Amino acid sequence: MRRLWILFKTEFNVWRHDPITAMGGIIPCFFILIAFALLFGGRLSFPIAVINNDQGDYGQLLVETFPEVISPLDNQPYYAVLSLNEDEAWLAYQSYQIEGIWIIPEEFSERITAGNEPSIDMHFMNYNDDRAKNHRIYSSEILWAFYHKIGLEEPLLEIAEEYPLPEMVDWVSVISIGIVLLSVTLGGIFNMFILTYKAQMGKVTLEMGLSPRSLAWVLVPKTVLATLFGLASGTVFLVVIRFWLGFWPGGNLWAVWLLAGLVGVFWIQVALVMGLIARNYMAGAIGSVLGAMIIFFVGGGLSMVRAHQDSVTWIAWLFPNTYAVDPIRDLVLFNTWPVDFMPVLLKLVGFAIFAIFFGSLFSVRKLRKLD
Amino acid sequence: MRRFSLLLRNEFKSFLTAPVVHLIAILQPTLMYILMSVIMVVPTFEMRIVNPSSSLGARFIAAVDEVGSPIGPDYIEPILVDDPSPGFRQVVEIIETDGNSTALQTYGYIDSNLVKNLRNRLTAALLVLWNIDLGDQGITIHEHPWLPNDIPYTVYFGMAMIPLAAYLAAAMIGGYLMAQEFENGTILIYRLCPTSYPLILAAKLTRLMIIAFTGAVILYLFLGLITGIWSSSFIAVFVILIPLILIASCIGLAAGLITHSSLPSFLIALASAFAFWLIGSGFGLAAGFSTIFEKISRLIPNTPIIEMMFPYFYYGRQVAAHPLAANLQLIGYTLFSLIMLVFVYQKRVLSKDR
Repeated sequence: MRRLWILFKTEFNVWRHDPITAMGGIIPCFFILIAFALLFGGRLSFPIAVINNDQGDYGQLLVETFPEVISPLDNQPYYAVLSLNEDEAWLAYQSYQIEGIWIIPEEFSERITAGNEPSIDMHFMNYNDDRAKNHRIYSSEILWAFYHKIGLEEPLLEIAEEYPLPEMVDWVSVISIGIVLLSVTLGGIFNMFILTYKAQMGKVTLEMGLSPRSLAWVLVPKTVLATLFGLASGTVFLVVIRFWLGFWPGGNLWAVWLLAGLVGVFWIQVALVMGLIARNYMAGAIGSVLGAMIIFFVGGGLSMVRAHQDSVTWIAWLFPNTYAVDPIRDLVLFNTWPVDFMPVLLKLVGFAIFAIFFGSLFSVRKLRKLD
Repeated sequence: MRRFSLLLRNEFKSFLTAPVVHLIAILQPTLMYILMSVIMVVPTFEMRIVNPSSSLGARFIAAVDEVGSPIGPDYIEPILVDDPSPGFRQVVEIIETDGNSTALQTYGYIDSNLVKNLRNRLTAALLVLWNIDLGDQGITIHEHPWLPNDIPYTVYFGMAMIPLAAYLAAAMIGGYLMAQEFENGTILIYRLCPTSYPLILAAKLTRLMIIAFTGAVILYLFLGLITGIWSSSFIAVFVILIPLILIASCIGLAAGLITHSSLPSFLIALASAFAFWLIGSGFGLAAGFSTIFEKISRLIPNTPIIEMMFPYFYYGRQVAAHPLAANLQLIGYTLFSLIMLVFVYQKRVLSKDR
C-alpha cells in the first residue's frame, strides 16, 4: 500500500508541473458552455415588422396579440414586433436584420366582420427549414390567441397540458449536464495524457517495462489520479451550474460522481492505450480528445437521449456517455432518482471493465515491448 | 523564390513526422459533420397520440397530417399508441370534460425547447381543425418565403463548418509542429539559419493554408454529396476563407512558440476553433439569436466569413449587414495576427536573451 501511495504522489508531482494542461477538462468545456448559453440562453423571439394597413380595429388587435403569446422556450413572446415604417421594414428584411414581415390588408376588419375570407400576408426567412417551420407554427399560436381574443366561436378541441414538475427545465440546463459529462471525460483524458506523456518524455517507460513487479503498480495510480481530476473538472462545472442555473444534485452527488466516474474510467483507458500504443503520442491524444468531443455532440450532449432515442446514431451507443447522460440529468436537474439507474450502472461498469481489461492488456504489452 | 520553394518543400516533408495528426486535423470536422447531419434537427417531429375512437378524433388525426410546409416536409409524424402514459417524451389524448372536448398533451421529463415544439405543433393541428369549422370566417395566412424552397438545416450547418474545418487544420497543425520544434530541439536550426525569418514564416503559412484548404474542400464535398446543394462559385467560397486561415495559422504557430509544448498548443487550437465555431454563427446566422449573442458573434472572424459565403449557397441572397465593415474587420484581424506572429517569433526564436 505504501508503494502505491509513493507512486501516486510521484504521479501527482508530475501533474503539478503542467497545471495548464490539467485544465484540459475545463477550458474547452467552459468555452462550449459559454457559447451555448449565448446561443440559447438569451431572448429568442423572432424580430419581425408588422405593416398594419387595416382600416378597422382588428388589425391593431392582432398587433397587440403578438406580445401576449409567450413561448415556453424562454418565457418571452414568440415574436418581437419592431416599430419600423414600411421602407425600413423591407430594408431590414432584405438584409436579414429581421426574420419576417406580416402585412395586414386594408379590408382585414371588414372581412372578419363579414366572414368573408380574411387573410394576412406573411413574409419570412426560410434559409433554414427549421426556422421556416417555426414561422409557420408560431403563426398558428398567434392566430389561436387572436381567435379567442375576438370571440370567434369556440374551437372543436381546446388545448390542455400537463407537466411532471411545476417548473420547466430549459434547454441550456439540459446542455450544461452534457458539458459536465464532457468535462469529466476530457479532464480524465487530458490528465492521463499528461501522465503518460511525461513518462515518455522522461524516458521512464523503459524502466517501467523492465520492472520485475506487476505493471498495475504503475497503471493504477495513473488511472486513479486521472479519474479524480476528471471528477474534479466535472465538479467545477456542477458548482458553476449550481450558482448560475440553480441546479444541484444535493445528496445524490455521490451517484453523479459514480456514473460520471465510470464514464471517465472508460475514456481514461482509451487515452492510456492511445498514449502508449500510438506511434505518435500526440496523434493518440488528439484522436481521443476529438473523439470524446464528437461523442458529446452525437451522444446526448445537446438534448435528452430518451426523448430522441430514434435519432441517436448507432455509433453513439458504442460509448458510455450516451447511457449515462440522462440519468445524471435526472439527478441534477430533476432531483429524482433515475428509473433506469441500476441497468445504466451495470452497463457503465461493463464499459469500464471492458476498457480496463483491454487498456491494461495493450498497455502492458507495449511497456513490456512484447509487440 | 527558389529558397522559398525549398523551404516549402521542407515544410511539406514535416507531414511525414506526424501523418496521423494531419489526417485527424483535416478529417475530424468532416467526420463530425457526417455524424451530426444524421441527428440534426429536422422539422418533422414524432408525436405520440392515443388512438382516438371518436369521429372528432379521426378529424384531428386528419388535421395533424395537414401541418407542414407546402414547399418542404410535414411537421408531424403521428405515432398512434394505446397507452396514455407520456413515457420519457409526451402523449396527446382527446378527453371529454364537462361536455367539452380537449386535446390534452402530457409531457415527460423534457426540456422547454421540446415542450415549445410539441405545443406549437399541436396548436397548429388544432387550428387547422378550427379553420375548417369556421369556414369563410377563418383567417388565411398567405405565405411568402424568402427563398423558393425551405433549405435543409444541414446545408447551413455544413456551410458554417467549412470555416471550422479550415481553422482547426491550420491552428492545430501549426501549433503542434511549431511546439515539436522545441520538444525535438530543432528550433536551434531556426535560430542559426541565415535565411530571413519572414521567408520561413511565409513558407509555414503557405503550407498551413494548403492543409486548411484540403480540410475545407473535403468537408465541402461531403456537404454537397449529403445535401445535393453546391455553392454557385467554388473559388469564391475558398477565397473568402483565406483571412480566417491566416488568422488560425498565426494563432496556432504563436501557441506553439509560446507554450513550447504540443499538448497545450493543441488545447489552445481546439478551444479557439470550437469557441469561434459555436459563437461565430455556427448554428445559425448571428442576427437570428439574441442581441448580446449577435454583438459578441460579430467580434468573431467566423461570422463575417459565413455571411460572405452565404450568397453562394443561398440563391445569391445577401445577409451581411455591413459588407465593407466586415471586410475591413477581417483585414484588420489578419494584419494584427501576422504582426503578433512576427513579434512572438522574434521574441521566442530570434531574441538574444534566449
